[in-house]
Amino acid sequence: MATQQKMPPAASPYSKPVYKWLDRLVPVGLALFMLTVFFDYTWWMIKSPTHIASWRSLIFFAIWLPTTFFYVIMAVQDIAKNWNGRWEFAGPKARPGVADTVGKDKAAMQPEYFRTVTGKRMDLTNNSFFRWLFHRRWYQFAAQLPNVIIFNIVIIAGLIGVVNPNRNFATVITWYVWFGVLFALMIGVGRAWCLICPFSAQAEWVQRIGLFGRKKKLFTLGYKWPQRYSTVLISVFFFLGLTWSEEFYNIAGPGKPLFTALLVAGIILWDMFYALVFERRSFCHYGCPLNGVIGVVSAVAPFEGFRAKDRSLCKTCTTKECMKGSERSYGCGWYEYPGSMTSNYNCGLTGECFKGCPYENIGLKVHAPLKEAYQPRKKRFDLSVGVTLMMGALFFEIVNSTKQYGVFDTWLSHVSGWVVVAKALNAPLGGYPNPIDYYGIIAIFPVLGWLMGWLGSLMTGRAIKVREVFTRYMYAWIPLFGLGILARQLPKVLTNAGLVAKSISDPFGFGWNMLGTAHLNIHARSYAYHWILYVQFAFVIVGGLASLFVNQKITELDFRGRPGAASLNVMTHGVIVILAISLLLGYYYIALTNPGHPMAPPF
Amino acid sequence: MVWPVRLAGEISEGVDESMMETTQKRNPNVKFDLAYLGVGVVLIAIMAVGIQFDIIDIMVLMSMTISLWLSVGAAMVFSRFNGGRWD
Repeated sequence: MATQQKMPPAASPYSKPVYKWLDRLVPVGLALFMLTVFFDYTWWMIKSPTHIASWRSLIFFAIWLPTTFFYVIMAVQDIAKNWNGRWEFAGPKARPGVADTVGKDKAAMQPEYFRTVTGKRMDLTNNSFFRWLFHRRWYQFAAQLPNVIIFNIVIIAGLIGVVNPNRNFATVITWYVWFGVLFALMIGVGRAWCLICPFSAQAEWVQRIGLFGRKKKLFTLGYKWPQRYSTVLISVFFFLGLTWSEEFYNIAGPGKPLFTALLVAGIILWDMFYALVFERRSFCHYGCPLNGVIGVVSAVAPFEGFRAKDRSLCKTCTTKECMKGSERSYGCGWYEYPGSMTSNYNCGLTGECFKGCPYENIGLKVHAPLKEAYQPRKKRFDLSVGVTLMMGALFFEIVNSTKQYGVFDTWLSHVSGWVVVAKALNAPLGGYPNPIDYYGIIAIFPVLGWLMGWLGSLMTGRAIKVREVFTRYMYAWIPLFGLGILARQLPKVLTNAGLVAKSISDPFGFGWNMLGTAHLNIHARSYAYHWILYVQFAFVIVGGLASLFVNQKITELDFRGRPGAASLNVMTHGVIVILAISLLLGYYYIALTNPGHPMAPPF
Repeated sequence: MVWPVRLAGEISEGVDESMMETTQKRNPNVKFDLAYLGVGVVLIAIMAVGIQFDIIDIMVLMSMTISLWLSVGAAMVFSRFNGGRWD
């Protein structure tokens, strides 16, 4: 394994043998894990006589062989280069003297941009284990690999597995587990999903032609995404479009597993296209349907993201390894500059800035939840519009569960001629949902938000512009949206997530028993347990209270001393209360009207 | 080279290449816009094939892909109104 590499820096704080061997063996362990999964699945496929001699095995091996071997070859290359500590950290440089003079002056010149942070914070990078971990080049790879394997199995299971969604790993893991875990991760850690995202992982590996090593040449045309089109709204619009497609073809019903595979494969292909044409993680910014949702809901999380510990040092840094990259790190894939970060919105937790900073001036702090929602002085208009649109999507997901909506949607589809288009598009549900009522319901919420802004502006005697009221106060809707949408996933997740225990033993529904759990006495339920409704209530109430708290903080921090601030505060509080009560009533109503189980929320 | 064009409400004598350069400066993303339209033509053509031959898998994948394409398009249209300022 020994290669002619650079020797590890003598001054490295991680030159002890135990650190060295851990650094070597963890990637080896991951590569072996990948191979073990590969051989295990191959063995079961070969043992399955009815399937090995069919088109299913062709598809299985056509995906399984090239992806595994591509990753293993890449892993071996990176492991070999990592063996002699090529990317080891040489120890922090001394703080330059100008940071205390020029740097502090420069930082002090931006009081309008940076708000003094308050409250207790715990910096994880003060802990030697985390510091060591974040310096490892394989830190993100280790987080991504299990997920990559899972979602590649999802694609294969969708393509070749049985049609019954409750026996197919693709639908079970995606819609009964992933969609719940995803929202829980956002609320708990922020962009943790982005850290472990299997879609961007594979695109990035191809772009870098490596799994975790630092390569100098990239396999991409490297175009910049136009500045004029750089908005989170692309992601929000795509989220809405994808939600519509998902309802239209009943993908998450859960419907045909093949459609779930197409969705997952589609995201990987789009991501790959972006990675080959544009620089860095352009897809994550301007394509990923979850970027807006995750970024917004991350504001609830107690994680600050990787951020400069001392901005005055960044002000005098001329090399900016955090953004541009260094010998041992890539520049931030998220185009984030830790020296000017004021929220965790754009931190994908990749840790490249931490590895790159020669002064070890990057921290990862944990603080009280919700701070990221009200603390930033600069609040973005497009993000606020995105919050209202996503709130609209959440309410649509509740309204569409009522009988009245079904009747109305069918009527509208006949009147508008949508049924003809739906027939041409081979819609399994007769054209549901009609795009007119789908986007109509969603559009109510930006209009409501803008109306609130207009009323607020009137209350201040036009001293504060509508846009400002709208932009700042829409951040207060974030916790209610985050917990509200998590509550919407609970019936599916809490009722049927247990099926995954069976499904991991028999992922394709072929009758395998890989882990000995295929015959557990767990069965899919058509209706959720009735107690889930109370959990949903709890989530919405907590979300509502959190939104009220954020609203109060926004008034105090952004509008204190300005004319009409008190009236604004009362009105915006009132809107949140109305939204929270509407959500509660919505969940209660759909639980009551659902046939077969009087108190259970429907799927 | 002079290109004959009709402007709103009048017949112009034409516009020379220097004016075209000015237009390009006004919209620095011309290449992106054209590539975007090209991608759209390809996507719609694939969708049409799916509909023509009733291949639902293509329709599902394309309906999702076209929604990404439309999302980018919507942002491009809005950027005309706000001058590309989103904050």
